[in-house]
Amino acid sequence: MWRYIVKRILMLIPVVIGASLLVFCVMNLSKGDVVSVITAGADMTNEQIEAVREAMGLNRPLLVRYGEYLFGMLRGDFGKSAISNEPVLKLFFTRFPATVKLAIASSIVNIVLSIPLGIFSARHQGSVADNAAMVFALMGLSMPAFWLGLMLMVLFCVNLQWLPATGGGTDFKSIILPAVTMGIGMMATTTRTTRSAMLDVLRQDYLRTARAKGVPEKKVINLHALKNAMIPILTTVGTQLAKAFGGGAVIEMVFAYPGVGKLLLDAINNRDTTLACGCIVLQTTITVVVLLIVDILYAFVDPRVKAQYAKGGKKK
Amino acid sequence: METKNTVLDIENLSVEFHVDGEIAKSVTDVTIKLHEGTTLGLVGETGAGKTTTALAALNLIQCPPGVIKADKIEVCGNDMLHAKQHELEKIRGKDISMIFQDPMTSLNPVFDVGTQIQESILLHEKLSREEAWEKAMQMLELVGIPRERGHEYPHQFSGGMKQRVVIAISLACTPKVLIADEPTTALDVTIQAQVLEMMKELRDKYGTAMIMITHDLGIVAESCDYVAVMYAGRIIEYGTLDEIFNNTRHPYTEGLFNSLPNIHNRVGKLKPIPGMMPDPRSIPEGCAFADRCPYATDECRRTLPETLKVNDDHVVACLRYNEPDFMIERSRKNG
Amino acid sequence: MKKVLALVLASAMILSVTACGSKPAETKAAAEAAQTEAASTAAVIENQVATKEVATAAEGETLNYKKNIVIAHHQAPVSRGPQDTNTGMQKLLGFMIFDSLLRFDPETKTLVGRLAEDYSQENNGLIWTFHLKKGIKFQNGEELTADDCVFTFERAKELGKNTSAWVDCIEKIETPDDYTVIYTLNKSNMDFAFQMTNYSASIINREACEADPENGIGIGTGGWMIDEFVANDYVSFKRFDNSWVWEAEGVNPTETMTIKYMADQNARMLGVQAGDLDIGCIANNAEFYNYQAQEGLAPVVAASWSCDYIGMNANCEYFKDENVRKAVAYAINKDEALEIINNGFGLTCKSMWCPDTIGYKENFEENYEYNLEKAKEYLAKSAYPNGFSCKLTTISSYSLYAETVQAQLAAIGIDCQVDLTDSPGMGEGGKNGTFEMYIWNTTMSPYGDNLRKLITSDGASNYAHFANEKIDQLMSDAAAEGDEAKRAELYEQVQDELNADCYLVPMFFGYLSNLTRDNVEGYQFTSEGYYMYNVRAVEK
Repeated sequence: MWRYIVKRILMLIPVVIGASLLVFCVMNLSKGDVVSVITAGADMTNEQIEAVREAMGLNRPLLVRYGEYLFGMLRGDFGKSAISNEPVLKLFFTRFPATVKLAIASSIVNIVLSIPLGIFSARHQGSVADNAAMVFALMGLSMPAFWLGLMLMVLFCVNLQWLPATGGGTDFKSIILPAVTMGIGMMATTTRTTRSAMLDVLRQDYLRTARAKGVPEKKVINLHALKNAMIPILTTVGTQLAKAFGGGAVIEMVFAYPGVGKLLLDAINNRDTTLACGCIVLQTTITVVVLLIVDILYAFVDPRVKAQYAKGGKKK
Repeated sequence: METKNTVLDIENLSVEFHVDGEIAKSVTDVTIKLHEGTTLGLVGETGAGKTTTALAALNLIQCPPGVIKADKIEVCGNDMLHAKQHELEKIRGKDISMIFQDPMTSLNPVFDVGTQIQESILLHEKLSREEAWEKAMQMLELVGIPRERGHEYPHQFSGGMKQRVVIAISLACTPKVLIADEPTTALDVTIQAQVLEMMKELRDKYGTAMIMITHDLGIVAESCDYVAVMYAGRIIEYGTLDEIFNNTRHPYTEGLFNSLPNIHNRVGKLKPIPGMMPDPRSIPEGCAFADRCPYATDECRRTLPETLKVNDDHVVACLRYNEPDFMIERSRKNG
Repeated sequence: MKKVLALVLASAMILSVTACGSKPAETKAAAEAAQTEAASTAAVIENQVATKEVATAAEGETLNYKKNIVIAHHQAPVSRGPQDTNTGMQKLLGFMIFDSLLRFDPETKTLVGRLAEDYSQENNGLIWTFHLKKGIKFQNGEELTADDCVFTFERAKELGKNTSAWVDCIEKIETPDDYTVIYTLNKSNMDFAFQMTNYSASIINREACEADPENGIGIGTGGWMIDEFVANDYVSFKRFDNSWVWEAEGVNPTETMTIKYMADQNARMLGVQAGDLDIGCIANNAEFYNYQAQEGLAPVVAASWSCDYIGMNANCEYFKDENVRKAVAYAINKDEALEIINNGFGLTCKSMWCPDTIGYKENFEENYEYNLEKAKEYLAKSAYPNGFSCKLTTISSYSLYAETVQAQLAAIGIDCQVDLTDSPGMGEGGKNGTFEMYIWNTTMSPYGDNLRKLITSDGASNYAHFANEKIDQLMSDAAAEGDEAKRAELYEQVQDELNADCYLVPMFFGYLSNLTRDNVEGYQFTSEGYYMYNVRAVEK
């Protein structure tokens, strides 16, 4: 099992190098750079602006700059934001806990909504209720996040006055609307996966054995069946959680939620390469780690998978 | 027949399946009365309705699409037909147990075998978790599996051992009735013998009544006291082991015996019954076996045969026995 | 069954969306009524300042005020100090925390002293002397002295990242005593005093910055001190009771303030509507009258000298021809554009100059009032009588400008291919001179030399890359001209040149609207910046 984990962690290295190189190149190929953002509004002459550019080292060749960045990163130094001059790690990790909270909260909303709905749909396959549930889930996917977020704000903040409209904090009241908005967006995929996984499992003979033993029907569905359906469900939930750690930039913008998604978005708009690169590398690393944790969780859910890990490889 | 307790009482059971607008008659007018300590062999081809009958006894048929009609289904006096869900759950596993056909898929892959046995015990007996686990381990040893393997998962066992675990689960709460649905079909012959031997021992030890569903007449000969032959959803012959084997009456039963390869007669060809059992969606008027029966008359095709008594231990459903001199080949040979 | 259900649900959704789209009749009528009434008040802003005076209590009545005010802005707070970045949000914060030596009063159009009591200049603006007010305290308790002015300049010069004009022209500073500062410039600059009103020239405290280089730059003389600074999120303030501002203008009963970064305009507006925000900056102009009709809301138009203009690259083959440029100038209907793009809020431009700046003139030899016939005449005279196709570059948020201009120029046969980019992209393209026609924006300031970078041949903002030596000379002469009248005349000549050259076609000064709750007072939305330090809200 440990060999497997180590192998996965070592795979992080090429992923991180690839991601940072890609971001670096793309940011530098796009028109404009961070200096025009910094000097906007100042009364500087062209020479002075060039001097700033030179002082920031932006005139050196791309590979030189990337090399410097890469070696800094490997030493743990992610550089400073060109706009605010703050260390990238500080900027990122100040906001990262908020993103974690939102990712977990929206995953909870996702799980609480989609698993019961998926189970219900599977048990009543083909019925009106099943179709309605699938359409409802599809609606969650089709509604754009910013629209849904604003609609919820209008309803709960302006009309009902139950929740504050200012956002910004990470306490329960501030996090509930962004989490619900994000969760509903995730719901569609998870509900469908739960439903199809459960449909597969509900056909299985061992459920009949359980019933013949006298196991209460609720337990047959929610324990005997669900545990077997967990692998595909866990995959979906895990992938969505990993994505959520990347920060939903749109949701963060609408709700003024202080997460890393908006940080990255602003960095890109400002051509702040160091910050953008740092954010993406860190997010990539975290996503890979989360996916690894999900894969490890499989072993606890399905003992057959655990046996495979023990052999060092992974079949799935 | 001795007057022991009737542990399983099924009267005029009919099961239909309504799918896509069609009605499949799986079981029609089946009556079974199983007494304490006896073993009934339920014989027939695939699709005859044996498993469905067994499932109906536990009220485990999905309705819809199934429709169960019966005058009575009682397990140890409990009405299975009208009982509420939680009452059924108390009876299943405790008073009546079932062993299913394919051991490879009967066990839940994500729970270890000990837990699966323990669960049954916890459901029906007032024992603590540790006590239940201990009893589960005892059951494991009873079926010949060392208790150290109690924490292992089904995928770590072979087919034969899995079936033994299934048997351990089903007998954990010492049910009065055990229905074994082709318990050895998926196993190879040597294991088959072991499993059957073990079942016989346990049955003798606990006095469990058993229904042995099988299409293998050899197994019937080994383990059963009574035999019921099913065809197209009906019981067409019923009697003691001796009567059925040595005083065979129904042409279909005769055909079954004839299909068996004869070790003493290597030269001759096999004698299968020609044709196929009718599709449950289109069961004919009259005798369902008529098309395949070498003795069939027009009357047979038109009229449903009622059950005729051969003697106290034997009934048969064949019109031709209305004729006083009618005899099948096998009877002629046996004399 | 599945199909029927899906069809029913889809129709239900479409119906509900259309139902939501239509407003109930009453709100619509109220909005229209408000529109006609407000049309007169909204577009005309008195003296470039939108304020709501502080209410005075009636006889025997005490007014209760909210303890905390929350304001939302669409940009992120990036630094505590005034010298690092220059954005609307930073200015908003800066005016809460700091003061400059002087401030430009848009109502009287003169410079008034803030930290300086008076000032004077010699040698045509070569030497400037400021006398500081005494007894002004910084938020760390230190008193304001001339040495702080020296430190402010030294730090700005050292930083060198985003410097305003005032930094470069200072040759040396002398402080004969604790309350006198003498700036000697490297060349005559009559606008120096005005340039010192820039928020980046706010005075910071030497002791504070040396003691705590990271947070010390956030210590100022203004009425509010930073309580919590969360970069890219919000800044919260505590009232600084010992500030000279409260002595001079009366204490603001508000005790704490929070200024938040909320990038999404809809969310900001909803916040004000829900009552969770007191002021939401930068509202949607199109919704102005709807907000007015709603109870509890008071939208306010803020004047600004932000000029949106069309630029034509002097190196582009089409625009080398003067006739083409004039054709474009006549083809633009500025009133229509202002109506479409900004809901009519603003002032159409008559000259590429700020109306508050010395020398402003409106009548030229040739005034480019909207005239399609004349436009077509000029085009016919040019090298491209049948029109041509060119690239029109601007930023994505200006797409409506691009569409409007495209439509208006299509009327004379010029086909514009709209090319959208973002701010850094504009900077890059402008610098490299790759634009053909572009729409951009410059924020003008009421001091004479402020358009230098836009109109001189080596100006960093001259994306049209036109070189008019006469303009260069005039601007240099005027910067050193001590006589007001002569200076004004020089600037009038500059405008004549710009007008004749016609590389830049100024469209309008677009005014912005902000949404406030109707119990909020004490704000000042001016063309120089938003002053929020006096904001308070009456509790009902």
